[in-house]
Order: sequence, then structure tokens, then C-alpha cells
Amino acid sequence: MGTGTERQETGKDVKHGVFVIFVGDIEEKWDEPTVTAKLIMEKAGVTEPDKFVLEALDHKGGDPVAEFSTNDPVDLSAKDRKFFRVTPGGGGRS
Amino acid sequence: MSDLVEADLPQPFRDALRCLREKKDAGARVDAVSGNFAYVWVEKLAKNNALESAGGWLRLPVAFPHANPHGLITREALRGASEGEVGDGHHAGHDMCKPVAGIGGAHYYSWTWENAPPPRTPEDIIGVVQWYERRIRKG
Repeated sequence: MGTGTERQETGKDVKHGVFVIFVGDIEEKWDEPTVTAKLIMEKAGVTEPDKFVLEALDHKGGDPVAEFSTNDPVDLSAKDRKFFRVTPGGGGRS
Repeated sequence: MSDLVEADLPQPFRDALRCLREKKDAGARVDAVSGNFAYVWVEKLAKNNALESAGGWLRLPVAFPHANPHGLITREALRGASEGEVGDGHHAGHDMCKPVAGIGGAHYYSWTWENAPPPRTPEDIIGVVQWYERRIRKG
């Protein structure tokens, strides 16, 4: 497991055969490599995931490198898919 | 804005400001209040180009989190993620800049919270900043 500033290419925990990811400070473990953003957000406690987007970060507390809407699949075996944050979606202009 | 005036803002707003300072930007400050909105300077606002002038003023309702953010003011026009400038809701020299015009506010982005999940707690201020950063990124 990495430190707060260490880059992690994927969330795969080879020893235990699961994908360990973090949504903010919340740790999640997934057996399968591909999960929808909705499930990841729900597991992190988001009650209305369709109103948010899941952003993948380059490291813990880092910059977003990709974003996923609620029904998008997230490949946890891909690069930069260990640290995430949840950001409100939507928005218009006046 | 003096601490005395900031102390006059509603407690939930001050709680949000404290959270913003603790988790995002210790230097966040209220530079003006105009009507129902406070102009909150956030220096550590992620932009598309490292060479851009830092920061911007979030227009946050003093009733936050019970009302929605509306608009961003910057000193310089925001650069786009690829090329050019962020054109979404951009109004150079708009009247909305006036409360912070004396300290450089010159570009107004008339972004609304439409279709976004309503803030519920003062801690939601962090998501609000992320929302602004996403809008800057998407241009």
C-alpha cells in the first residue's frame, strides 16, 4: 500500500487477489477488475450517485486524470485507478 | 475583510470557511460581501495551465450550504485545457466583478449550480471547489 504521495499505477493487491482502492479516505476492496462508477460511489456512501461524477486521481489527494459518470465502467486494473474522489456533477450558466 | 466582519457571517458559512481552510487552502478568505453573496478567494484553485495567475473568487451565498454557489471571478481569463480560453459563461469586465475589482477581479464566469446536487453540510464546500475545478477543466 502506498503512502499519501506515492504514485500507484493500479489498485491490484497481488497477495490477496483483490483490487484495493480509495475514494477519498474510504478504502474499498473489489474482487473483479471492472466495476461501475455507481457501485464504487455507493460503497463510499454516496446516496445519489447519478448526481455526481467519480474522478480518478494520479495519486492520493492529487489531480484528476479521468472521470466516470454513474453507469461508466471503471477498469481497476488500469493505470491511475487506485485513488478517486467524488465531485458534484451538473451545472449551467446564467 | 476584517475578522470582525467575517464573524458576522452565519455560523454554517463560517464552518464551511473553516473546513475550506483546513482541507484545501489555509489562505482562503472572504474579500467582499455583496447582496446575498460572499466573494471567497481561493488561491489553490486548480487550473489548466501552470503559468496562469493563481486563484479565483468563488461566489458563495452567505446562506451556504442552504443556497447554491453562483459564479466565479478571476483576475485573468481562464485558459482552456487544450488551447484558447474557457468560453463557458465568460463575461470580461462584468458588473459582478465590481465587489473585487479593486483587487483585480476582472473576469466573471456565470456558472450556476443547475442540475447539481444541493449542498447539505458546511463540509460540502470541498465538493464545491472540486466542482469549480472540474468546470475550469472542461471549459
